[in-house]
Amino acid sequence: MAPLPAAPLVRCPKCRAGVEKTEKYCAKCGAKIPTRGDRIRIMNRKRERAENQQKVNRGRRWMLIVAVLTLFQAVFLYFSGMSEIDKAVREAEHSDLGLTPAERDAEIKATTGMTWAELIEQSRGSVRLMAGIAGVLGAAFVGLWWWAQTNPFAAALTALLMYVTSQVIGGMMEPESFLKGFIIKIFIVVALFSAVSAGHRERAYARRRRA
Amino acid sequence: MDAPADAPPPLPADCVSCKRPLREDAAFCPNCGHRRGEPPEDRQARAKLRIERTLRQSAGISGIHALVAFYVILLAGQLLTLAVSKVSEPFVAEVAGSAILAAIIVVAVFVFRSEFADALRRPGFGVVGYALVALASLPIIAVVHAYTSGLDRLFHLHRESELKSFQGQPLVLTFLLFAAAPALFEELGFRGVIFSLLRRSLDARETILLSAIAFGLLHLSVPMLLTHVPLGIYFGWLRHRSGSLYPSMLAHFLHNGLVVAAETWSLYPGS
Repeated sequence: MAPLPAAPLVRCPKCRAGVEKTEKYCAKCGAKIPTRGDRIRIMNRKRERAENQQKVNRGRRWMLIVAVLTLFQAVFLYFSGMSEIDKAVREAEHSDLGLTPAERDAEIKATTGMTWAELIEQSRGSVRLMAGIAGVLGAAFVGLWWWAQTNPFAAALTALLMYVTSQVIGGMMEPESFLKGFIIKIFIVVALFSAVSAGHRERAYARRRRA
Repeated sequence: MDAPADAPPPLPADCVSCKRPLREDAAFCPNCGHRRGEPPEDRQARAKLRIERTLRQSAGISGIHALVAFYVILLAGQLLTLAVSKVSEPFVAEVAGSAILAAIIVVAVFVFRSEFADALRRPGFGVVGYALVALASLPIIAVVHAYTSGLDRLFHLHRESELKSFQGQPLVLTFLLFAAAPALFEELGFRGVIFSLLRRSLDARETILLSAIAFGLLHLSVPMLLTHVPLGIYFGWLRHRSGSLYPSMLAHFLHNGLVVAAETWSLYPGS
């Protein structure tokens, strides 16, 4: 009588056939039998995935915060800008410089090249533009926050570039505003960059799996 | 009794790949996972493939760092240009700005030259393709002009001409600095360096979009984002479609050249 084959000690994870402990592949379906090292790798991978997800979530939270702040800023810029212009106009029209309206218009025309009405309209236009820009920027960050759900890497990279550039443009227009809340700004940049790296690592992993 | 002629050859008793003996009923080698009855695989080739893939992946993340660094350096260059424009004549600032941008991009092109060497070697489109690119520049400039003048009217802006600093300079110099230099250097920078660095880890659509956003942002003007991002998408699409940098260089040159032509017309009407 032939000796009995050694009892299967593990089961193939794919086809459930019995596999001897020393065998690396299932003889029936060719699937790789996970070794101890593989199981550790899978565990590490799970942890890494959770960490990356956490970094992406942190980045998304900052995107939302930036979006809300920028939208508030848009509203504030609009109303404060408009009321300042109204105040300046009221003061100018009631000021007693001893000038008739015609003389005043002539002087404004000489210094700015615009009529009084044009000057007011231009100031209002630039306030509307600034508020509009802030509004669009805020809306863009909401969009990026949304996009980061499905494509964290591309969205976080866009958010990082947009944020850095908008801070630089803001700093150009008002140098003192650049240093305002500088530490929070550093936090935002770091969080966005770590979301970029985390998103990239996940992507690289997915690509490795596909290959 | 002979076996029929079309019967499959008997399965080998040993694994052809790792030479270990196999059980009779095994469809795969339990040692190396090779499918029984298939020719042995080229292990060396597989190992080589794996090494190449690992190298490519490690290049991906350093590509992102390089990309962000390049972007920040370009941004710093733009700031330097602005600082120069505060203390010098507008025309001098314009020349200095072009020189700073060109210097940064030349260094980056040298560092990353292997990334897009093939994009410089390929001609891209044929004659018909280039003719279409040239033709397309006319409707594009019309739309861009309509948009910018509409924006000025909407917000009552009295925007100064982009070419104000070139006033009084020879037209050739204006063309060189406003049309030819950006077409060459910005294309090398955005559709060359940034595009190839992004393409390492993104698919084509995302690469085109992100390089366009970077292109729009670096012009440091928010209203202009609405023209420069679509323009960047168009240039990036040309780069992707043709696999070459030359079609987008032509499109960029024609766009800026037409701006010069239109502004010259309005700055010196009747001349």
